[in-house]
Formats: sequence, C-alpha cells, structure tokens
Amino acid sequence: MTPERFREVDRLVNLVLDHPELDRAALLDGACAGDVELRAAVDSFLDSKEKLGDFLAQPPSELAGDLLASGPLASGVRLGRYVIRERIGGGGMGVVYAAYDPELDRRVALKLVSPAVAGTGDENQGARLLREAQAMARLSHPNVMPVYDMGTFGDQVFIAMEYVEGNTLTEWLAEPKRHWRDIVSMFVQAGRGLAAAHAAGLFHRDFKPNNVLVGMDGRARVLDFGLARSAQPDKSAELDVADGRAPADTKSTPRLAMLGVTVTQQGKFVGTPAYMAPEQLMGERADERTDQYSFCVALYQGLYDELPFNAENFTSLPELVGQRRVKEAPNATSVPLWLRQILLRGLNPNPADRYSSMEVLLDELVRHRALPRRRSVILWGVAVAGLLVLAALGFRFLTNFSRGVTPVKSVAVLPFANVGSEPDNEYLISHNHNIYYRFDFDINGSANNAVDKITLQPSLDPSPDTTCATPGQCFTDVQTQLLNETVDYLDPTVYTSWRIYNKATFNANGRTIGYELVPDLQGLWSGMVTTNEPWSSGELWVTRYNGCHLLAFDNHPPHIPGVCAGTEDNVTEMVAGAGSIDGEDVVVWYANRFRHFPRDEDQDKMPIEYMSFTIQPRSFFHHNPVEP
Amino acid sequence: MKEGSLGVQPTELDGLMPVIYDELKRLAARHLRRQAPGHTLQTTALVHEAYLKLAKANPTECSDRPRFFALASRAMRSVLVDHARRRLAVRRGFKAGGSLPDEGGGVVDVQGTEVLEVDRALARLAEIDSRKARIVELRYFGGLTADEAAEVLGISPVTIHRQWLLARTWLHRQLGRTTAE
Repeated sequence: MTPERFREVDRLVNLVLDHPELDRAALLDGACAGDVELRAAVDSFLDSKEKLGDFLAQPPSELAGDLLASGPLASGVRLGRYVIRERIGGGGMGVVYAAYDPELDRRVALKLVSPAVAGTGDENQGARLLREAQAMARLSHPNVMPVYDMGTFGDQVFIAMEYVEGNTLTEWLAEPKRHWRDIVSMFVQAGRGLAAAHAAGLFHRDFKPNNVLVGMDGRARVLDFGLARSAQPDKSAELDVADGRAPADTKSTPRLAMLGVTVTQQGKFVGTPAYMAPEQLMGERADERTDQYSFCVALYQGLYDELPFNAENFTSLPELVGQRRVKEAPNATSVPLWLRQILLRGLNPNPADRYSSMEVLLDELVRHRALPRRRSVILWGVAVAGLLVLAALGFRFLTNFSRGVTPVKSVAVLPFANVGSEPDNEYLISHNHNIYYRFDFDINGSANNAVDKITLQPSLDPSPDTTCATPGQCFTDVQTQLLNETVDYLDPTVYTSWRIYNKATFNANGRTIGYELVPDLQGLWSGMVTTNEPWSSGELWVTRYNGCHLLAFDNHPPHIPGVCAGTEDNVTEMVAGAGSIDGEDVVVWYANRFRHFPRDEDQDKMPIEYMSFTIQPRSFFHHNPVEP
Repeated sequence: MKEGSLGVQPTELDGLMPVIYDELKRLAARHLRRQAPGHTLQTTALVHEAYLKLAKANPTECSDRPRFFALASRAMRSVLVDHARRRLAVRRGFKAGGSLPDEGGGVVDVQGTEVLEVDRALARLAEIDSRKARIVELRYFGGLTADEAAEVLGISPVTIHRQWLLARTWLHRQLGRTTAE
C-alpha cells in the first residue's frame, strides 16, 4: 500500500467513524467512486479489530523483563525455563546459581557468565562461548561436568550443568593428611576429563583445582572448559593484577594469593597465572600441553602444598619457569621420586619436552601407582541415544541392592515406543541406539569395571530369540563391542571385567529377557576395563523394576509424590506385553527430553530433537542420587 | 529552530535522555529481582516509576510530564530494540556455530524479532504519518494507556483509539501478518 493510498484509506476510515449515524456502505460507495480496491482496503481497516487480536496490545514485557543489570539474581528469578534458587558460587568467570528446572523437576547448577566474558560489546565472544559450551555438551565423559543446556539471558550467557553436591578440588585437597596416592587418583580422574576434551579438540586453558568439582560420590569433574579462551592476551601486553583479593583456590601464603588472582586485561578474562604455562603467560598459542602444564602445577601443589615456583609476581614467573627453577622438594615429603620426575617433565617450560599428551602423562602416573581399591558399590552407566550424542546419560544402582555378590540377575532394556502424542517421533523407534554400560561392582571384594557398547537395532519382526511381542518395540543387540579405552595399566588379576549378553537370560518367569551380566573371566580385551571412577549420573537411570515407578507421560510428566502410578497404563501394558520384566530385573529407563543429534549426513531427514520417550522411573524425579 | 526527534522543539528535558535510559534499565533489573516467577515486567510501571524518581531529582526539567512520557517511551523503545538486537545476535552466532537450539526462549525468539520488525516498520510509518508512529511508540514501547498517550499528544482519547487501531492495522500488514487485499 502506497503512502498516498494509506492516507486516503485513513481519511475514509475516519470519515466513517466520525459519522456513525450514516450508512457505512452508502457513504463508502459514494466516497470510493467505484475504486473497488480502495473500498476493500477501507473495509479491511474498519474490520480489522478482530484480525488484529492482541497484536501490539502488550508492550514487549518479556524483553523488558530480562533487561537485566549484572547484579546478583534473587531467588525466584527465571532464566529461560530455570528458576533461580540461590547463589552458590562466583568468580572471575561468572556467578553460579543453584536453580530448579520445573520441566524435568530437578536441580541444576546455572553458571551465568559475566558480560565481560560473554562480551557485552563483542557479540562474537558470546557466540564463541556458546559454541564452546555446545562442544562441551557434546562431550560426554564421567570426569567432565555434564552441560545440559545453555542460553542467553539478556546479554549474558548461561550454562546449565548437572547439580553436583561436592567440593572443589581445592577444598578436597585442604583436608589434612591426604595420602599422595589418593591425591594422584583424584587428579588422574580430572586428567581423564582433560584428556577426553583434548580428544575432542577442546582445551581447557584455565585448569586449576578450583575448576574441578569433587562430588560426594568421590568423582572428579572438570568444569569451565575453554572459557578462558574468550580472551587471549596480546603477546606484548603486560599482565597486571586486576584486584588484590585472594581467591579461594590458593592456599595460605600471600605470594600464592597474588598469583592465584584471576587476571583480567582490559576487563577480559585471561587466566590464573600461577597455573599458566609459560607459553600461555607469554600470550602464545595454547594447546593440550598447556593444559598438561597447568595440571602438573595443580598436582604439584596438591602433593607438596605449595606451588612449584617461587615467584613474587607475574613478571618473574615466566623467567623462573624458563630457568626450570622448581622448588626443592620438602624434606618431610612422602611423595615418591618417580612422581616428582613425572611432574618435572610436565612442568617443562618447553612444550615439546613435556609428555606428548595428557594420556601419556596419566598412563605414567597410574603405571607407577597401585590403584587404591574402591569399596563403594555402585553401578554406573552411560546410555547414549542415537548415533550422535549430546548428553551423558548416566544411571546408577541403588546402593541397597547392589551390595554383596552379583545381586543383579539381568538387565532388561525396555523396548522403545513412541507412546507420546507426537507422530513426528515415530522414526525414533526405528532408529538404532547405542547404549554404553558401565559396571562398577564390588564383587569378591574387588572393584570391577566394564564398559560395553551395545548397538540396539529395532527388531521389526517377532523373533524367537527375543520376547518381542510387538514388532518395532523390541531391540536386538546387533553388535556388542567393548568400548576401546586405554586401560592397560589395570591388573587383570585384580579387576574383573563384565560383559552383557542378551541371550539365554531368563527372568523368574522363565522368559528370555534383555541382557545378562557375565563376568568376562578370560579378560580378552585389555581395552574393556576402565578406571574405577563412576560415570556420570544424568537422565538415565537403572532401577529395579517396580510398577510404582512407572508413569506414562506426554511431554512433561506430572509429578505426584506418593501416588503409585501406572494408571495411564499404556506403559504398564507394554511392559506386561513384553512379559520380560519382573522384580529381579534391572530396568534401563529412558527419560524424557534428552537431546538427540543426528549425524551430519542425517541432518536433512532427522531433526535435532528433544526426545520424548515417555517412560520414566518416578524415582528419578524424587530420589535423584545427587540430591540425598 | 530544528525539530527534535519527537517532532517538537527540544527542551532541557531532552538532555535527560541518557539518564532516563539508564533509569529504565535499572528499574527493569530491580523489578525483575523482586518478582515472583511467572510475572512479567510492566513497561508502563517502569516508565511511571522513572518519572517519579527523575522528577524528584530534576523538578524543573521534568515539569512537563507528558513530554517526559514521550521521551521515556522513546528511551524504552531504544532500550528494547538494543536488547532484542543483542539477544538475536547472540542466538545467530550460536546457530552459526552449530545446531543446538536455544531452549531458553524457544528456538525462535518471537518477541525479540517482533520488536525489531515493529521498530523498522515504525520508521516507515513515521514518514507517512508521524502522529500514528508516535502513538505506537507511546503505547507499544512506552506501555502508556490511551489516556496518557492522549495527554502526551494533546489529542482526544477517542482519536488515540482510532489512530492506534489504524496504525496497528497498517503495521499488521507491513509485518506480513495480514495478506494485503
């Protein structure tokens, strides 16, 4: 509509409205003088009220709502779908809040990254941060803090992570009289997280004890990957102390406090100099050996309770490091010489003289170390849906039935079914799924671990080998392959590996069921046994079958505490139909809404999806292991 | 004398524009912190509160209350547009880097997009009919009621209602929400 035409329409609309006493049709017939188009436009404007609905009726309140200044958020404030509960930490990178996710009815930790890091002025930084977080979210490793989600809040970026009760490694180390073996064990865990990130092409760039969280389960999780890359210092830039406050991650001496200060340069985060490799201090390119250096500084500090270099300030640090002036070991130390030798190599100023990778360094550490035994009795698993994976989906046995010798008869994998209302999800049931199991049993007094990878393929025809009552609702194990992890340091006489078979396994009803755990006494694959660190808990859990745990849901489950469910009963029917589960079995439950990423080549036919398997254990929501 | 951006001669009050802008942002943040979840922020409350506060501190400049509301609406528009732009920019960067949908506000940022679209279309409307454009600015961005907008512009509320409807219809078409006949 041209401006002229609009003015004409405007005039006529006003004319009609100014003269309600006149007959509108007659008035317009005369005024439009046969211009049908004009007449139609005037009518359209006059009758627009309904069509407009609430268009522009409300000011953009949501936008106004998250126009947030950078002050701390109060309890009850919403970030995306999360509701802030309380502030639980903060630092150079941003503020961490305990928050609640009403959709999944669980706690999460939300890190709100400071505008200076996210880049208020520089949108690329925010975007890069999100890309990094995205890469982290794809990385699934027990020693990497699971990233659930991320988003923007105003001009800030938030990252939703698993909520883990625990302490930072700094706090963990502060416990008096930690044995060096335990310290090495804990660092090896963290190091595995670093190594996994390196394998995925990600570098941490600010590894330090404060960036490692040790959960109540004794598992180390590395966090804040890549955040420090948001700003690399200019090579020529002089580093200054941004503020004089001592951060929590340094021990007592003022010197340490100085060096532990998070440095900012022109308001941008750079790193923590005390842990930074010389090449990083000099503003040169960082790589995985840079992380290795930081790791060794932190481990050195953990073992000797002091930093390896006696630096008064940042400017002297590179020099000292360059001269390899690592302090003498304290006389009273119990740290063995071999361990010190390993550290010194990792602390080499020249990256080329360090270990070639974290893996190699870790292998050295564990090769010399007699691994302490694990007493806790947990089964952890990680299930990975789809051929590509976002979230680490972990599961865990309830402690009370994993005590003693092999209490688990079998593991049944519930058939996938699209019992939700979205027909678009149908393809999911005909899609291959990989499931990774990890078992960490206490059997015969020893820690036992195994990781199996099972590729499940939907079984479209009822098969004598399975109990597939309904085509498409059962899965057969087409490929059982042990996850190839480098674990050759483990002594096969101490560690028993387990395999999962899906044949000749019967439950109490004499029915063939999913998978059986079988100790692999032959120890055929050196690569089948992993470290004894448990895997991450996540959205998948293993429980004993219990009808009360069942609920059939649509997208967002109602949570009715204390109500024995199974009333919306297609799930119960489905389970009954499969006839495969009884109280002796352990059931792998797929939870709602984990993310499913297609492979690149599948992207045109498969959307990225929040999957909605509508089977959930009620207990997942009410007895989350991380929330005692 | 040159006309200001609101079509009237600039006064001392215009000098307060940056102050108004900051005050609105600050108030927005404070309101949000105090709010129970699920509540949205009332733009109009912000504008009024900003007036009360600034009028106390700058009685002379703020003696022209309607003019203050006009300026505050302009500031609010600018605050919202800046904000929407940033929010969308971050999301675009996010998408460019991969394919993870942002769950926070849905995959598509409806409000952010609408704000920018309305802002652009409003600039065109101002060329055709500046009064209508100002009404939209006051009501949509400033959150003012029809009576307040009438006071600001010195016209009757009835006219405001009528012009508002016409302007919305025009914008509705411009934004492609209505198929043009």
